Amino acid sequence: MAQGCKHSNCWPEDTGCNIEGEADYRQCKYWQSSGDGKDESVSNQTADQILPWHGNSLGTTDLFFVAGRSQPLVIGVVGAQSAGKTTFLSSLYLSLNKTPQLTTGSFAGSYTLGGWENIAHYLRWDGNRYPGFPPHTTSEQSRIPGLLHVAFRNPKGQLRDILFTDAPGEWFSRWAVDKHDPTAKGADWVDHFASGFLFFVDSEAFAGNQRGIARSDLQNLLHQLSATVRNRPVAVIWAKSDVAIAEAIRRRLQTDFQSTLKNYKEFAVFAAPKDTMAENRGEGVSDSVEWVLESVETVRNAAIRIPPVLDSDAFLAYRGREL
Amino acid sequence: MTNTAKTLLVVGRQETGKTHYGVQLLGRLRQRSGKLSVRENPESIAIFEEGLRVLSQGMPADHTPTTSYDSVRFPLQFQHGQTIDLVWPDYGGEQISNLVEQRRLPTAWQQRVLESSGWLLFIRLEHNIEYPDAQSRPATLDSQQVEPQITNFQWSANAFYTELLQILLYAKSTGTLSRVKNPSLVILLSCWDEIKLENESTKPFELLSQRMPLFAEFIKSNWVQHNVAVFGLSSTGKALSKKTPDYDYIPEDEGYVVLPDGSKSSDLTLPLSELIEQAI
Repeated sequence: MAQGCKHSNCWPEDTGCNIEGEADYRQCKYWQSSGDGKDESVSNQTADQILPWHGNSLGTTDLFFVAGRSQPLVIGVVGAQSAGKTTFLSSLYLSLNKTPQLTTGSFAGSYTLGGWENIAHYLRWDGNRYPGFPPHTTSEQSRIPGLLHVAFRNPKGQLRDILFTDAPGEWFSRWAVDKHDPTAKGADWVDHFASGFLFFVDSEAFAGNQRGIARSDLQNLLHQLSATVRNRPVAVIWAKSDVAIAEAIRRRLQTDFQSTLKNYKEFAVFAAPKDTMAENRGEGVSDSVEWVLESVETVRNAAIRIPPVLDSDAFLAYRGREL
Repeated sequence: MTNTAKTLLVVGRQETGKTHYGVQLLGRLRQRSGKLSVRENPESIAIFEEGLRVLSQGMPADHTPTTSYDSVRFPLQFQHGQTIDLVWPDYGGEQISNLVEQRRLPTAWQQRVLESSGWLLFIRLEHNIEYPDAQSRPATLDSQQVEPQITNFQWSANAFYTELLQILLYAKSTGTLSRVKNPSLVILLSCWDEIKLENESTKPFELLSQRMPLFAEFIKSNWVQHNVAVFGLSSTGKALSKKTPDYDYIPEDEGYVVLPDGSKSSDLTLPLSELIEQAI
């Protein structure tokens, strides 16, 4: 008999007793021991309190811990595989490490520091190593797609929890052609819950021999997103923008964005250009995130539209006493 | 007269200078010349016995055993007469590293955190793990040459200390939706004498912001300004060595703190009195 919690969304050995809140999860009525006495042998450890967050990127149930204190804003990081999504996220973390303030607020913590450190490590210099792009993320790999958390305190002193989705590009490629593809449920989750998007255009792909395919793929994804995007802000990220692409293609893509997205802005980012001391390398990164966060707030706080006064009906015409 | 004892949580990884400060603090408190002093001799100073002896010989104290946790009770009084008892601990700093690495709070630590009304955090900047990164150095080699197989790495100091305080706040059942007042926090940048400063008048918080921007911002964002302070600390005034003891070394005459405004003082009790005043 496998040991564990009888509830499918509780992992007491990793993040403590989720359902009953028992200090010792082995005392929980839902705990199922293996029956071979194995778990009793480590019982001297059970008085230790297990932290409710593991530090790595969050799964949808792990999210409860963060969502318990405020409604987090989800920023969907969308793009084909190797478009530069993970590199962007690690650049964001590294730039926060040096300049921990955005226009929308200053750094106030993160419950996924381990997850951030994991992806950022590949952009770091370690002794004689050189910065490299993060390893490819696929659905099959052990690095699990998840949500990266960061909290900011805005100038009014309010805390805002932000979650960036860190998901493999394959999800979005599948989702682009079939919204209900069972292997791309995560992409639909991102579309459903995100308040704003970072949409990645891989400059390198548009400079290579496969640029026709890249364009067709991008259009599929763009149209799928535009079907449900409504007024949510989309920052279009021209990733690897140090790679030159033909002007005609660029213009064509820009026309596509204009015709499909209502609320968008373009940004250029590049992670590690050759032979340049780049003071401004992280700029497009924090600029785009600032723009999305600001736009989300604007959309959220938009004035409520009151329907025109119907003066034929005294009840409906009543708008309160003027003060 | 009975005094309720205030318990401070002394937090520091291994080799961040907790023992040296404890020993030097005892010396200063017994001299009764600083802002804080002892009302009467502490009943037992056994935990500092060895430290007192080696420091008087001009040698550094030994590493405190990993698993040990002992404390001394200081009956204190302020210059203006107010009295307070303080429980001062000494322990192996690996226990702190383990909190973050093993992600478990041992029962004893849960209790300590809950009982504490002020936290004293030791950070030794020169022992921090910092990684230069792609954003601050030119990438002259092609990215294809990179081996991406770096699996066993340690968290940067920014991440480590941020997580440490998040864990302690969780253990204290203190949220950060509004800024934190209780517990008060004093950060000691220890071994200040080994830091090469470009500008001698650098304030400790400025230095923390330069060297650990993310962590410094975390502190600034989450604590009420009056309930957090950063000091520089050099408990022994200079580096001591086991191989070449300085026999003329007089511990009571050595050591200084750098106050939040950047000025120096030889009164090593100042960070402690600041913390106690904030925490009361």
